Amino acid sequence: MVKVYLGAESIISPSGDAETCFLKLQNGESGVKKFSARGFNKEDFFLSAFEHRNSSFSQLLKDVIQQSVNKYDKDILTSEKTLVVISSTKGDFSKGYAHALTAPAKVLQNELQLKNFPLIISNACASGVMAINVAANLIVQKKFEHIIVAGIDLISDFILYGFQSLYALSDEPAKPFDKNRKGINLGEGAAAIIISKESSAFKNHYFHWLGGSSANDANHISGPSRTGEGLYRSVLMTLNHAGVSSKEIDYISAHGTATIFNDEMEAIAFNRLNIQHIPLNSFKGFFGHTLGAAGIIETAMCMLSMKKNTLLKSVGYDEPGTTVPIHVIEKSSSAKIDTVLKTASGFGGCNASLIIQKV
Amino acid sequence: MQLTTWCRWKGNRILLNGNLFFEADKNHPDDAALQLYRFLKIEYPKFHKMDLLSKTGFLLSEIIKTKANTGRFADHEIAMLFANDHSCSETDQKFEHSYLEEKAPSPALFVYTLPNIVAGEISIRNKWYGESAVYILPEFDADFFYSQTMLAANQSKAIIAGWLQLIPQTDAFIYFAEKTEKGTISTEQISQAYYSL
Repeated sequence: MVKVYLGAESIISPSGDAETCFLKLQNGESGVKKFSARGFNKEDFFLSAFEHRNSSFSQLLKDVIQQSVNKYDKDILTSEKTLVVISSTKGDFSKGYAHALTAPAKVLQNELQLKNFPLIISNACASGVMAINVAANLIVQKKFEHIIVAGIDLISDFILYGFQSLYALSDEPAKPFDKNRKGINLGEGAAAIIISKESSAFKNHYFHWLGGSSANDANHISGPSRTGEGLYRSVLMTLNHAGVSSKEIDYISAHGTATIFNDEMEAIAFNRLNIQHIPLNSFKGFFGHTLGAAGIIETAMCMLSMKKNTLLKSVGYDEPGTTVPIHVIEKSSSAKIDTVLKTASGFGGCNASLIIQKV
Repeated sequence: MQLTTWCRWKGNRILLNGNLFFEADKNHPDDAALQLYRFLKIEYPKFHKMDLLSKTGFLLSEIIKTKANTGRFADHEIAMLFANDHSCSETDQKFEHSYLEEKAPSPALFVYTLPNIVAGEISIRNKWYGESAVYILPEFDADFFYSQTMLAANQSKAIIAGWLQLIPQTDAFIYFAEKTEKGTISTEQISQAYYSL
C-alpha cells in the first residue's frame, strides 16, 4: 500500500496566514467583524471578509498555491506528474456563471504552466475534505506524484442573500455548538495543501493521510439529517479505511456551522459513534464559513494543532447547546495530538471525513 | 466494474443501451423533462420542485433503474459521480434574477445553486447512502469517468455516473457499472456510448 503524506499548508484569510491565525486562535481572538449594510435589506452581518481585497479570485488561488509549493518543491508545478485539485462551491462570478469554475482553472493552467488541467470538485461545504480524499486516492492509484489541493470561495451578494433567504445567518459572532447559537457567519479565503507519496520533498512538517470517505444522508437537500446518518456512516467508513480505532482519535475538527440543526446533527452522530468524549472544536467562529475552502483551511489548522500539540479553543462556545453531550474545547491547552478526525457536511446531504496522523 | 446499463439524452431523443427509449415532442407545450416524467409514469411530487440539472439526473437514473438491477445492492454500495462544464449556472442566473429583478431572494432557487444537489435528490429518492461526488470538467472526458469508476470500486460495489450538460442544450449521459464476474468497463465503452448520439 502506497503511503500518502500531506503538508505544506498555506492559508490566505482576512485574519492572516496559517501561523498568524493559529496564534490568534490560541489567544481566543475572533476573526469575524461586523460589516454594515451587507444584507439584502441593508442589515449588518458578522463576516470574516477582506476589508480591502486587491487580488482577484484567480490571483488569490495562484498565490496560495505558490505559497504551498514554496514549502515543497517549486519545480513540481510544471511536471506531468503534478495535478492541482480545486475545491470551490461558486468560483469566480466575474467570469459569468457558466464559466465561474472553469475560467479560473484555465487562468491557473496558463499562468502556472500546469501540464494537466486542474480537477475541480464542487460538493457544497464538504468539498474541501472530499478534495483531499480524492487527491489522496489518486496518489494511491499512482495517477500522480504530487497533488496540490486548493480551496477557495469569496463572499458575494449572491451567497449572502442566499443564506439570508434561508434564515441561516447570525447577526452576532457565530457560536458553534453553543446553547445560544443563531446561525452562520460567512467567511472567505483560500488555502492549499500538498499531497504526495514522497515525504522527502516537504521542507517542514508533514503528516500521514490514513483514510477518508463520504456518505450521503439521503434525507433532505438543504437540511441536515436528524439522525446524523451520513456523517455517522462516513466516519465509520473512514475509521475502517484508515485502520484506526476510534479510541486512537485525539481530537476532532468538526464542521460546526453554528446553525441549530447542523450542530445538533453532529452531536447526535458523534454520540452514535461513541466519540462524544473526544475534544472537538469548530473553526467557523474564527474563519466564518468559507464554504468550498473550509475543509482545506480547517485541515491546515489541524496540521498546525498536531505540530504544536495544542488543542485550540472553539471560538464562540460558552454553554452546552446540544441535546446530547459533546466535548467542546473551551480553552486552548497543550495536549499530545497524534491522530485527528476531520469532518464536514453540506447541502445536498453530503458528508465527508478524513483521518490524519503524525508520522 | 462492468458497464451494464447506459442512457443517453441529447436534445429530444433518449437512448437506453443504444435503443430509442423516448423521443420528446418538440411542439408540445411541456418541456422534454416533463414529457419524460409523464412517460415514465412516476409519482414523485418533489420532481416538480427540482431545477433542470436535478430533473435531468433524476430522470436518467429512473430510466437506468428500469433495466439495471440496482436493488441487489445494499443502501451504501452504490456510488454516484456526476460532472458537467457549467455547474448549476442556469439556476445561478435564476437566483440572481430573484434578488436583482424581483427584489426577493428566493430560498427555493438558492438551494439548487450547488451542482451536487442532483446527487442529493437521487440519494433521497432511492435511500442511497453511498459515496457521491460532483466535478466540473472543461469537456466530456471518457478517460476521467473510467478512472473514477475504477477508483469507486475500492469502497462501492456499483456506480451510477455521468455527464449532465445542459448548455447550450441537454447533452446528458448516465451509466451504471457494477461488480460482476464478467468483464470490465473501458474508456472505449464509455466513449462509444456517449458518442452514440
